[in-house]
Amino acid sequence: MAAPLFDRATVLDNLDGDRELLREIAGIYLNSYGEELNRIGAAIAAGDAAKIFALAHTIKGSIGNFGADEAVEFARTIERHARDGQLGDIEASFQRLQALLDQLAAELRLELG
Amino acid sequence: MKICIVDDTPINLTLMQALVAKIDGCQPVCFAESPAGLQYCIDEEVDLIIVDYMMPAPDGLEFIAQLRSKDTRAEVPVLMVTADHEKDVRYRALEVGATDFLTKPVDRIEFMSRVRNMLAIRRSHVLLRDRAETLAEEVRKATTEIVAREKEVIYRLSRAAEYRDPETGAHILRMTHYSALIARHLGWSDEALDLILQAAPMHDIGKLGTPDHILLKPAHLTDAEFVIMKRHTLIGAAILKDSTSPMLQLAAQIALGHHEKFDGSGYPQGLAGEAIPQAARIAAVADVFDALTSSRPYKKAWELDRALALLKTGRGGHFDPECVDAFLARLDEALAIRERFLDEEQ
Repeated sequence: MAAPLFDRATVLDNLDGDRELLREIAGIYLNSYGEELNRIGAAIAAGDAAKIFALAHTIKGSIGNFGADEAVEFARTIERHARDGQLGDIEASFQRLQALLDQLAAELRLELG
Repeated sequence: MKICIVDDTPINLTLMQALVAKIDGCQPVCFAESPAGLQYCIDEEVDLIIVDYMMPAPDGLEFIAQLRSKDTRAEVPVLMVTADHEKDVRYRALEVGATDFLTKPVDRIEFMSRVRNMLAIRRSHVLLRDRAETLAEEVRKATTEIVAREKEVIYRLSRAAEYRDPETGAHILRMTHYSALIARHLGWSDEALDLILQAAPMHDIGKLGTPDHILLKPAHLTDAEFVIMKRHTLIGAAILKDSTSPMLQLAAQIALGHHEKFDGSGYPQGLAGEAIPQAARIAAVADVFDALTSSRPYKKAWELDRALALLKTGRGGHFDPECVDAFLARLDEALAIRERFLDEEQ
């Protein structure tokens, strides 16, 4: 099994031990991350670098709140490639990001019980 | 305190809202859409704005630039949220007026400290501003009171003179308004007209020093008595002279010079033409016209035509021609003044 993405102790400490708040932001993630991946995928298919950049940036900003260092790293790579116009390099990173976001979702579902 | 948070990323918006709500006395107002958030911050005075950098337009930089373009929003603290490696973005944010930054992902300890610091600055600023406003208001009030008191003292001085003067309060009011009427026609400013309205009532204040047997004599004065009567101009000037108040300086000129004649045959100094202050030349026309058209213990009121004829005859002799012409040009208004301030016995 892959190393956990969700850094429970650090995240909960950062939320001042507020479990309700954790449930709330985890819920937002679970409800929206699939749609956000779809939008990135569509932007990649359309070769829209500006859109890829903005969407990757947003995802990066969201998932950073759960730790998820490795996923943040791939989002950042996509963001950088999009900014530099290296669209050919994005697909591989995107596939890894998808897998990691699915994993994060699974971990958060476990947390919510 | 009211804290506006603008971020298009729902997780971050929720998180920052929850953290702000944990600070005592803080009320978060959240916007996921930047234009609505900007409009709110322009319309409402909030105590702190937290704005994300990367958003659909306006982004954080444009948001801050537009906010700061409003004079009334130059001081509200603004924290911009960025990733900490975005150094060039931070420099630009400082240029457009960001107060400080928050790093993404939000770190609770840093977030709470920076927000608290910003709010402390905000509180000091509001306190200082309120104190400055309070002080300015107190100075305004004190100044208004002083001016009102000065007017009141002068009014009471004029009232004291009236009690010594067989002429009526209505005469003083008519003479004063005729004087202002002539002055306005001669182009005096509103401020100067205000001064002459206050000063002219004191033209005969020197009669305080005129003995009763002369002042109250119900017949023409002997030559010797008239010499004493004439002194009311000098006494009035002595009462009013050497003041730093422009109004009292004007009053002194009028008291001293309102019996001077344009051809130099008047008293007390026998000044001629423009050597007589204009205010005194104005007052001479106003005073004589009202004396002629009022009844006195020793004479009836003249008909209007006869009084006007005398003004015209005296044009250039007794009176400054300009002042006579000004009075005649505004005769309708003069007659309205006469109707407005009637003697009680009439």
